[in-house]
This record gives sequence, structure tokens and C-alpha cells, in this order.
Amino acid sequence: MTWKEWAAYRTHMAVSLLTGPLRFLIMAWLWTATLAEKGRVLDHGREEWVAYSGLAVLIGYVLFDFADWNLHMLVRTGRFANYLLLPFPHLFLAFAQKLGHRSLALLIEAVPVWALISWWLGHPLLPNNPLPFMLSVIQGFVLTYLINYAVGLLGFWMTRTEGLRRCLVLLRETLGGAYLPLAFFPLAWQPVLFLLPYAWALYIPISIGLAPATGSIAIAGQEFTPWQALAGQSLVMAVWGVGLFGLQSLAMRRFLAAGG
Amino acid sequence: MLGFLRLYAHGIRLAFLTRLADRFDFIASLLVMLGIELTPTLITVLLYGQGLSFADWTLAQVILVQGVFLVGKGITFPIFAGMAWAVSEKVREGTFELLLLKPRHPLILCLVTAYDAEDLGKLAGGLVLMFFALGQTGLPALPDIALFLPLFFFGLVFFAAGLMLLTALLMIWVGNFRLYEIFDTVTALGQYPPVIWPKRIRQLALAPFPILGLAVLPASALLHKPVSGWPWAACSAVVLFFACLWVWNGTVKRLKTAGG
Amino acid sequence: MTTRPPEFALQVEGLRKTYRIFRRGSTFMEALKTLWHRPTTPVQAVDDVSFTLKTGEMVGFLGPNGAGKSTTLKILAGILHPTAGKVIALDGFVPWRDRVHYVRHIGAVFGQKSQLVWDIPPLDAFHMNRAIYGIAKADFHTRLDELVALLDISKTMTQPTRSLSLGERMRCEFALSLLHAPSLLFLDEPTIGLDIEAKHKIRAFIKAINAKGVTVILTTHDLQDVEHLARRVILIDQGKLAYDGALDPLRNLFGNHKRITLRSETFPEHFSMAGIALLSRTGAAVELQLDLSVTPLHDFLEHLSRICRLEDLTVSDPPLEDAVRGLYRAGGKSGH
Repeated sequence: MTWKEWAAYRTHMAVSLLTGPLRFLIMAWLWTATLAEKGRVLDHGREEWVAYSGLAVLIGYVLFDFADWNLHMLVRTGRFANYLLLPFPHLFLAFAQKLGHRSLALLIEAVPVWALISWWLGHPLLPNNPLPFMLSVIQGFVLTYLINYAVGLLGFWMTRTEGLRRCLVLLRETLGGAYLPLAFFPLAWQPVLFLLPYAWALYIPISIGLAPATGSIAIAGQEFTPWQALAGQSLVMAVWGVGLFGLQSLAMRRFLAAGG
Repeated sequence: MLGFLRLYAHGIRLAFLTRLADRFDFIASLLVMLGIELTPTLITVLLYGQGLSFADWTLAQVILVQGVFLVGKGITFPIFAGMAWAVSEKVREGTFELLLLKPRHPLILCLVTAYDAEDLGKLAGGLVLMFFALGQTGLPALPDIALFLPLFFFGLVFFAAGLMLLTALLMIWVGNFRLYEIFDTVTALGQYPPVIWPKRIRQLALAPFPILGLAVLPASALLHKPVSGWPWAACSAVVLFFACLWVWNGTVKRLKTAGG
Repeated sequence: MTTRPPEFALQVEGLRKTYRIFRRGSTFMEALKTLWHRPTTPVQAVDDVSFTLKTGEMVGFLGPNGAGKSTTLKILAGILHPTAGKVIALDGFVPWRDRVHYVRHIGAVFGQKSQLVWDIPPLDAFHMNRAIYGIAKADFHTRLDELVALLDISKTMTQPTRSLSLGERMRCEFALSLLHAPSLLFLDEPTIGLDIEAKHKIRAFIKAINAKGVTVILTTHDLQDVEHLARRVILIDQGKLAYDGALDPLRNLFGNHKRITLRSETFPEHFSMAGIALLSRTGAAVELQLDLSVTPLHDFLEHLSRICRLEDLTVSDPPLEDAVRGLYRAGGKSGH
């Protein structure tokens, strides 16, 4: 049903066919212009950094989520109460919604943009380490949902959360590796960046996809293999999952105690 | 004209009163939106921090371009972007027609009733960046300022044209806020020195789509390294403004609402 | 602009409006097809509607959902262009062509769409309207004082709109729409969702405004609004004019009837008489419908007094609802 619901927004999604390649191009031009003299930075050349930007755009489509906005809207309008009448928690329904709109996004956004970048713009994007890469993207998908749902739950305590949500979007975009690899940040910042969940949602899948098969990934200044990075991501996901169930329980108690 | 200015003053006052009803959220949104706008500056600082650079452009010079860009946004967005969101919301809710019951041109009413005070954060942030950068590059001479002012004005005209076109498109593709993403992605190119543009399409960024006119041309004037071809950019901005105004008018005339 | 006699507020001739509606199926394949192609269907929202409205008249504008009422009103208010037809309003305005000048003389209140600003007091919206309409300060304050007194909103207009009850908000909406002293007023479901007391106040206010010479077009699904306020009814159904005339003849459009409500402990268990239909019976309370074309009232009352002992009796006209429902069911085929 979510698939049909979102098919009504096909022009909405089709915008990505323009913005995705454009965002990729801007980063590709930036890399070309800034690497014109030096040629390499942080042991990688232009092609690798351009590939990073391409994967960031594509994985961004798969991970995209608005569970925070949706949940806050339901609480603010009082419609959340309708979901309490259903025989399963809203948490799972909302996840099913995400599966629905992201599977459509795969068809309308990710695959066409991948084709445009790989063939038309001439930058083939094929991840190394396909299996850990796919598992990492799936985990990133779940982790993004958990983070956003947790933010949405704050709507049970706060009347307006637009400011807070925008703040978290800012953190996610700048500190999650959407624009620049986290290795570009000062070394002293690295541990803090990996304490936040955003790096684990986006940066880790990209890094796994780009790492050579016997190569390593830098996390907070330390080197890890792709499988080790994947395991670290699983741990972060598990911690957020447990935290979310706890927060949800508190939110329901507050909601029901207040009379709905 | 005096009547319009008085009316607009009313509108600004009303906009502030409305937004200040929740001061915390207003200030938080203001700061966060500014943070999001500073992402290109963060990228630039991180790139230069790793020893990369744009040929013949120092970090301070690039920051000046980004400061001018933000100031331009900070002036045009409260007026025109506010209009885009407000009109889109009204068309979606079916209340746009209420504007047509007032004895003024709908464009005037859209402008007057939709001032977006949150975007003023961009103005403040842009001025800070400009003053920081000029502190590093040295104060410009009077002839440079004399060239900067009209170029900056034409940059504002191009911003306004783009936002009016966005408003018209939002009236047709109701609720498709991703159209803003197209606008944002395209204009983002205007925050970087012209060296990032491939030579064969650099001319296009002057005319007929004067993206370089948004910030690069006026900032270059202040840095006493004016870009040739700026008159083309100025003419294009004016032509585009009237073209977009014509599209906006035509869209309002064609607007159909659901009957009952 | 052509000069028209001032006695007419509106002259509508052959009005038509056609929309194109996108069609989308419900099966998966149909939804998938709509990704690249959406078929459309033309819908005749308004089909050859003609009527005139005298200055100072108040008319009830009725019709089932989707009948074309709102479309017609939007054309008359100048915010929608018709596909065909002619409208002359007030001093010779063509509403959609002369919109900016025409709307200075009209006001509109929508029960379901607010013109106030949610987070701030209505008084701020009033001042904004003063600036939009260019009302002189002295005139504005005189008019505002009048409306504040009539609508009793001196306290409510200084509180944020979101904190007002629906009734308070509607009174402020009326004030907003009348500040510029319009001569033609469109009311779209002004009493929707209001309690009895609030409805009574709003109706009294509308009557008072109409008594001062303001022409009023009232669209409503609450037929009590029409019964209390309008003497003339225009009924639109499936885009066509189904009825245009006085209220009383409308009640008898499907026959000349009376509603009889009586109370009697001795009313016969099985009562039968030509022209009488039993509507309801609860204990001693009985409701009947009498067809006067079959049995005159006098004959019925004479017979009734012979067969039972009456404790109470009321004779009234059938509710307007019955006639309107009949018209809706007939599909607008009844004459006007």
C-alpha cells in the first residue's frame, strides 16, 4: 500500500534524476579543481574521491527517512491515537512504510542515478567488497530509521521540534560523511564523530564499498577491515535499537498518562 | 510605491509577531538554517586544511565569495523564499484563492503575507564571513566597491527570478518541496570560484544562466580581480527576472481549484 | 464597463465551468502505469446556470456535495474563470476580469477556511486588512467599533486565534470580512461546527447586516440556516440549476403536505385514512404526514377528534429537508 501511496509522488522522487547527478557533478568538479596541483590527498587520488561522492549520493537515497517528521506530525495532530487501536506497534508500521517508499526510491532514484553517473557521466560506480557493502547499507538503512524514530518520539515531550530536527539534519549531513570523508576532519575530532551514530549509518557503508579487498578502513584514527567495520556498525545498531525501545516505552507512558 | 512599502512593513511586523510566538524554536531554526548554509564553508576549510586549494584563490578569497552568496540569500530569501513556501502551503490547503479575494495583485499579497524571518540568519552569517574575509584580504578600494554594488544587485535579481520560478512551479507541482532542492543544488555552484567549472561550460554560467553572478562576480570586484563578461551576466539576470515574473503571472491565472 | 440598473447585485447568464480530473485505478498495474501516463476525464462542474439577485436580497444557495456550488461561488467572487457564460455584478463589474476593483466591494466568510493568522490575535489581522484595503484610519476605527459591538468580540480579538473557540473565531472572521464595508457578501457554511447558541448569534448578525442593505449569498448544508435567514433558495445539482424560487413553494414541491404531531393515549393501534402516512409512533406521541390534495385539513381534524382523545396537537409545514432531499433524489429534474 505504501508503494501505491508513494507512486502518487513519482514527480517528487523523479527530481532526484536531476539533483543527484548534479550534486555528484559539483563534488566531482570540486575534486578535479582542488586536486589539479597535488594529485592525491590522504593516500587517495581523484578517482577514489569522486567515487566516494558518487556512493554518498546513491546510498543517501537508500537511507533517506522522515520517520521523525511523520511521527511528530501524528502526535501534534492527535492522529497517533488511531495507531494505538491497531494490533501492532506504530514502530513496525512506520518501518514498513520506510521499506515501501525506499523500494520505490530504488526504482525511481537510486538505480537511474547510478546509471546516469556510471554511463552518462563516465564514472562507473561498482563497490568493492559487495557482500559486506550490501549488509552495511542494510544496517545503515535500519540505523537511520532508528535514529529518526527516536527524534520523532521527542514530539511526545516537545510541542515544536522543527528546530531540533533541522539541527540533527545538519549534524547528519556535515558529520555523517555526506559531503566529505570524515578523514578530512582534524584527527582530534575523529573519536567524537564516531561517537555520533551518523558516521555509522552513511560513512561506514561508503568506506566498505571503496576499501580494497585486503585493505582497511580508518575509524577514529584506527584501522579496521571491512568485516570489522561491519561488526562495529552492528553493535551501534543494536545499542540504538535497545535505546529506542526504552525511549518508546517512556513516550507511550507519557502519551497514555496524558490521556492521548 | 509608498502604499506598497507601508503594506510590506505591516507584513514584516506580522511575520515577526507570528514567528516570535515560539521564540526558542525561532532562534533554534535561525541558527540551524545558518549552520546548514555554512556547509560549503566547512567543506572549503577542510579541503584547504589538507593542503588542497582552488588555483589562484586563497582560503579567505573563497570565504568572501561564500559570504557574499549568503548575504544575497539573506536579503532575497526572507522576501521571495518565504513566498514560495507560503504559496505552496496555501495551494496545497486550498486557501490560495483567499488571496484572490483581496484588492491587490496576488504577487504583492504573496510577498506581503509571507516574509520569512528565519532566513535573516543567513544575512547575519554572510556579513560575518564577509567581514572576516575582508579582514584577511584587505579592504577594497572605492572603484572596486563601485563595481561591487551593481553586480551584487544583479545577483539579487537573479536570486529573485529563481525563487519566483520556484513559486510558480510549486503551484503546478503542488507540495513538491523537492523543487527547492533543484534550485538549491544549481545555485550551490555559485559559491565556489569559477575554476571549478569546466572551461567549455564556464561561459553558460555567465549567460544565459548567470550563476557566477550570484556571488563570484561581486566578490571578484571587491578582490580587484573582476571576471570578464559580467555585463552579459547582468543582462541575463534582468531578462530572467521578467521572464520568471511572466511565468508566475501565467501560473496564477491558470490556477484551478477544486469545485464543489 | 457597461452600466447596469443598481437594483441588481448579480446577473448570471449561461454559466459553465469544465474541469479535467486525473484518473487513477486501484490495481497494482494501474498504479504502475500512472508512473508515466495519467488519463484525464472532463467534469462539467457548472452547466448553464442563470439567475439574478436583487440588491439587498439574501438567498440560500444549496446543493449536495460536488453539485457545483463552490465552483459557482468562486466564479461569482471573481477568483475563477468560467468556461463560458456572462456575469455582471454590482456596478457593472465582470468579476474575473475586474477582480482587483470588484473585490473591494465584496466580502467572504468561509466556515472551513480561516482568513485569520493562527498564532496572533485577530486584531493584528484586522490592521493588516486595513492596510490591504487602504481603509482610512478614522473609517477603520468607526467600522471596527461597530462590528466589535455587534459581534461582541472586544475581548476575543486580542487573544491569539489558536486559543479561541470555533464560535469566537467565526465572529472574528465576520469582522475581518466586513471591515471594508462590502455591499455583497458570500457566506460559505458560516455556522458549520457551531453550537446552538453560537449559531443563533451568527444568524442574528447576518440578519442585521442584510437589513442594512448588504446582499448575501449563503451556502450551507444546515437547512435551519436557510429557514431562519433566506426567503429565496437557489438549488444546484450536478452543475445545473434545479430550483430557483421562494422557500415556501419549495416545501410543497413534491406535494402539498402538512406535518401533524399529536399526543393521545387513545390513538387507534391501526389507523388508516386516505392521504395519511404514519411517520413515527412512540407511546402516545404520534407523527403523521397529511396530503392536503387527498384529504383537507378540516376533514382530517374532524375525523381525528371522533376517533381519539387529543392531549396535544401541532400542525406544521414539512421540514425543508424533505423537499431538498426529494430534489437531490430526483437528480435536479424538478422545475423551478
